[in-house]
Amino acid sequence: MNAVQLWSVSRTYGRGERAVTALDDVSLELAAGTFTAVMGPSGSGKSTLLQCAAGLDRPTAGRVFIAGTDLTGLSENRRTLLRRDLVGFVFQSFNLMPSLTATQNVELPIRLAGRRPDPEAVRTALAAVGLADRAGHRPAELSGGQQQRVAIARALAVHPRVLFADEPTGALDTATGHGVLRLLRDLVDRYGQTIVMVTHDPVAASFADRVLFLADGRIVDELVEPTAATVATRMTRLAAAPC
Amino acid sequence: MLTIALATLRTRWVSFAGTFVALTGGAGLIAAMGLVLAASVAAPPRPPVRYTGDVTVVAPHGTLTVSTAYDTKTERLVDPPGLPADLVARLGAGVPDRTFYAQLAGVPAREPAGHGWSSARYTGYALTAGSAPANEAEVVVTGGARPGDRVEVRTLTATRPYTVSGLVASRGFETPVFFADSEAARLSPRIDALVMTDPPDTVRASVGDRARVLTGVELGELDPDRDRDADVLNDTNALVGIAGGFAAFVAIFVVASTFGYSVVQRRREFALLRVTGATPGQVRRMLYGEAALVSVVASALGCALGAAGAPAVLDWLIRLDMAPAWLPDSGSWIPLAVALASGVTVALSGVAVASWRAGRVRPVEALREAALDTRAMTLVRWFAGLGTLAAAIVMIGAAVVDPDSATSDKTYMPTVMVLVVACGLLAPAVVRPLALRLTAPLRRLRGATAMLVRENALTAVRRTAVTASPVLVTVALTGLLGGAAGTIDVAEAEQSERSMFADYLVRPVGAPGVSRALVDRLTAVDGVDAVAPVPTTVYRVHAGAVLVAWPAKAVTAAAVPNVLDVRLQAGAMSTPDSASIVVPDNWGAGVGEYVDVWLADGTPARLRVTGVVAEGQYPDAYLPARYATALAPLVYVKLRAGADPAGVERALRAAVAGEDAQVLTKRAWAATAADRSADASRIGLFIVLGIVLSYTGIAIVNTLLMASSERGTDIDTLRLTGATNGQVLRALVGEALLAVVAGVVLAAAATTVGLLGLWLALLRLVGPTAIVMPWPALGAVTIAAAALAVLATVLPVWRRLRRPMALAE
Ligand SMILES: Nc1ncnc2c1ncn2[C@@H]1O[C@H](COP(=O)(O)OP(=O)(O)O)[C@@H](O)[C@H]1O
Ligand SMILES: [Mg+2]
Repeated sequence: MNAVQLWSVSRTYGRGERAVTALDDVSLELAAGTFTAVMGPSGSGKSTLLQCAAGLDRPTAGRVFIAGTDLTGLSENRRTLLRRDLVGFVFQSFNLMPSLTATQNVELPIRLAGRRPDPEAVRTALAAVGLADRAGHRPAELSGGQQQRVAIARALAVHPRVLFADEPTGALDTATGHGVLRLLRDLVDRYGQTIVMVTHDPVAASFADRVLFLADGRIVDELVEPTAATVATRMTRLAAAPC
Repeated sequence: MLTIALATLRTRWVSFAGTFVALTGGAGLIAAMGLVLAASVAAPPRPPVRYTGDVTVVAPHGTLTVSTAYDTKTERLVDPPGLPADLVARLGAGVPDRTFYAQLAGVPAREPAGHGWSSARYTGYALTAGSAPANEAEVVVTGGARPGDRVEVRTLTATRPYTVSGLVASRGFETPVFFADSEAARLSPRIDALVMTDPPDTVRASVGDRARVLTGVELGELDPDRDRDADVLNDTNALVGIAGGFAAFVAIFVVASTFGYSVVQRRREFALLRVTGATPGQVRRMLYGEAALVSVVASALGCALGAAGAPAVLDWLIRLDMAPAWLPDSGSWIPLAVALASGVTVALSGVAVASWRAGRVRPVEALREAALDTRAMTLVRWFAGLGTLAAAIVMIGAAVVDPDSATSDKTYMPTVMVLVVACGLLAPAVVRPLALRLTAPLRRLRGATAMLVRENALTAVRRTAVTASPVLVTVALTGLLGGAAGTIDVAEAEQSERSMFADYLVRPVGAPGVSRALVDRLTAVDGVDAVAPVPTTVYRVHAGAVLVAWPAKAVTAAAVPNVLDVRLQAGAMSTPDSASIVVPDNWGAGVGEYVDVWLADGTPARLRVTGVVAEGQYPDAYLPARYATALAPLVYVKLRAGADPAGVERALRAAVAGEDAQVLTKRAWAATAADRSADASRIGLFIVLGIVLSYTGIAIVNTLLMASSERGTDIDTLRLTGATNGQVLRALVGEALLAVVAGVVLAAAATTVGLLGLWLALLRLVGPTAIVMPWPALGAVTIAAAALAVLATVLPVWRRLRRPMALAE
């Protein structure tokens, strides 16, 4: 079964003359257990695509399915509950609760879902991202890479069907970024985690199984088994193409 | 970087508005109270009330002048005699004006007064129905009867039937009964004043210095309620003074804490400035400049609002009988200047403390996601907090050592203020243990709310503390002032009951005293001794040099020592009709000697001493009943040994039936005598407390709005993590309620310490008494504070939740 399906999804911001079409009739299917990268120039609609696919945003037209559930027409509250069970997020800025420790941040979605966090599972999740020794620290006491890893651990705590990541390495230096990317790759290979990652970095994209290229809100190209070099070439061509 | 700037700008706007509102309200409160105080303190001479129109009035001097060994002394007479008969005869043309006690039986009257009808036209009365009294048996009244009705009229000596011939409209300052002039002359022979229509100079020429000749504003000196009015004005001054003090205190407290918090909120912005190259000095100067600008504008606006609101407050006090009705609004600019200066000073000093910290903000803080605020108690704050707490405890200790001062407002009010400040300063220290304790029971629950509430409160200690501050002031002031009022009332009741020797008291209802007929009936009741002392004054030259107005009681019974707990060290009470006196021991006169005194109307009298009051009691002098010139305000009744209380009580009630009086047991009397809940000053204090508390209510909303302005990112993060709207609301409302609870706990601590001190002082003064807590008021205030806190949290969060999430770019 497909983890994520988009049918002719469009998203327009604003109305009338000032309307911006961020997504223009996009359809795609992402198989379970795959790692997909979404690339494109700035303003091409990558974040919008991710937010629509994750149920954070409501498309203007089209339908979105996550794990076979149609998100179209669900209320904000229903979508929140669905999201809570089905998807995890990682963003460029880490979006951790500053008042909570690493452990508490990881526990948060479990508690919000009304379940009792299993301390062992939380410890394992933190260990899996290499932060076993930082469990009691608050975000202000952690480095950027460490915070991002807490965010990943938190996203995985509810065992989501799909993990969405929007430029997860955007705020990190190259070495730290690599660490995070390797961690994501590992999750796919070892646990069959489905991941969708938005990035503008060809090296980051090369960690994925498949790369979708976005321009002006449309999917214009696709690359399977990417390497940093092939991705970079496609990107250059895309940037040179007349709009 | 742009987001930081934008975010701080948004935060800044709210914190700017927050400080502005706090300052405007505070300055407004100070200005309004200051203007009301100025109005009552600088009250002009009261315009004449009783005499109206262009008349000249001849009145006795009303003073006693005595030559002592060294010079001449003058004292005001409490019961001035009438005009000398020869003077009246010489002036001839005037209209005699008499004023004496008279009221309709069974009709409660304020300031009852009898007059001759011919003075009515000079004192602003005109018939509204019926006709003038045509003979000795007719009267004109203001109400309680209609023309043609038969009424009973009480005077000093008797109650007699009359027929109402006409009605006049009441003028408020008295409840008059007008008699025919001849009847008035019979009831009260003396002429209290002569109303002349001749020009003042002519009158003055013929009167000389034998009496006063008054016209225009001077006529106010003859107004009957002049003393009472002066008392009301005194009460107004005291009340508004206390209220003004509290208004200033609360305004300063709220403004200082709001300003401090606004600087804490802007740490990120200061760090950013430091990153861009600002020196610590520049940051501080910017803060001072801003504070000066904001505080001048906000305080000026507050002054304008206060000036607009002051007349309304004064009107309100007047309507509640807590200020004289003729009091004009104050046009003084001084309260406004004080309000403006306080606003600016408090803002600048609030900044002085905070800016020192702001200058120390390190540039790297700009780069942090969010600064943790776990250690909000700085060393300075510990010192200041513990220092003020120590000061409060010393003040309480001093009050316990000198308990007489403990119950006076001058001692208690400053103690209250210092206690509240101490608790406010120490607030951050209790937030942490409190948050842990309160959420401990919820810890085992799997929900996220308890964890979020606890951790958010713990990592934003100052935010929690600043939200708790206005709740602290609100609840603590209610508890401390309300508790003190109730506790002192009960202690006073206890003390009056303990020191009251009589078993029953008969007091008048709607009349100034108990009629003589009733006193006679009470005295005749089997098994009791009854005494009806009438307060009067005797004047005496003390030590050959000073003229002293000595408090005295005209009493009817020889039983006084049994009923009033007056112990005589020699002799006995005087017999009713003798020219005798019982003197305090410090008069230095022995039984059988003669003393020269002047009576209340200035008549000299040589009285034989029949008894001497033992040392250590109220040093009253006791005169025979024939010297009484008024009705007894209270009749004291004591059971004789072996009498049956139930039977006596029945007999007393039977005696009182149909009279304007009631029988009270000692206990009931003590409770009503000490119950000040209906007192003007008490009601006034609570009303003004209400005004002050509505300001702290605004402060609660204000600080919460300021606090919620920094929660936008937190809210979005929670939603991203899967929180439903309800969960977000629950977490934030939980936090606000935790702050409210922190405020209430601190207030409880302040109230406990303050009232315990008062209790200890009362313990030394009157023995153990109950502490009376104003539970209903406390409950209402706490619920209101919690409701405001919830509302002020839910509304901004709700608005934020309705917006799409601001996702990371
Ligand atoms: N909230 C919004 N309101 C209006 N326009 C928006 C909004 N969010 C994004 N856009 C516009 O939609 C387009 C796609 O944005 P986005 O998906 O963020 O692009 P990317 O992530 O690829 O840089 C851009 O032109 C952007 O300006
Ligand atoms: Mg983007």
